[in-house]
Amino acid sequence: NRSSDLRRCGQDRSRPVKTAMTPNQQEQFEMHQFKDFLSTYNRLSEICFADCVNDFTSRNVSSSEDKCMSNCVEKFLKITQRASQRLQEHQTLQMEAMGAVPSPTQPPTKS
Amino acid sequence: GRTRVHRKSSMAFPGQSAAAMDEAKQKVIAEMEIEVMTDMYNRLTSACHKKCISTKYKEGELTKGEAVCLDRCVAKYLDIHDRVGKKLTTMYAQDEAKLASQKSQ
Repeated sequence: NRSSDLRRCGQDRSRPVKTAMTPNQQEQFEMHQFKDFLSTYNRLSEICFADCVNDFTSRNVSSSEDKCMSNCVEKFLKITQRASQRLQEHQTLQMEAMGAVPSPTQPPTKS
Repeated sequence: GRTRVHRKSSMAFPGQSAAAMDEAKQKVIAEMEIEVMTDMYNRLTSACHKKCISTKYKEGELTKGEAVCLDRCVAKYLDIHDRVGKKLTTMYAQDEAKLASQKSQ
């Protein structure tokens, strides 16, 4: 079911939920995530179209354009993941500097 | 007043029937869809303007070439939009499968 597939997207299951949310908050959060996903989807379409499609002698998407689009989407997801990692690291460092969080006893894991 | 059959109330919305909640949720989703489609349309228009329209603006009318380009551009954009959606769902599904197999180890 395509629409339920789309609804599941954008939910980051890799991070455990730390604070308990009421069912209402949970639902609002999921809605917000879904909306976020849809917005990303639209932006991504625009980006990959701009960078991959330049031939308007035909209305059909060529196989090279399709391959470009596919790579574009993969790269974009990896960009968001990597940027998110770096951001988390940065924020952790900031919090340590403020004394809010104790420094880890082990060196940070490389990913 | 409401003449709908009350299914059991939700704990999150005491006093609200489950049917009323579904309705509210449907409404939110429908509004979201309009917003998303509008956004898509705006991006499509902007993209095809960049691809097809000369910025010299020698005249106000669309040239034949510009018109044909626009038709093809819109067709291609919608096609790409569909493919991106499919690719995204595939990749998220792969991610989820990977997570699930990691957790079970």
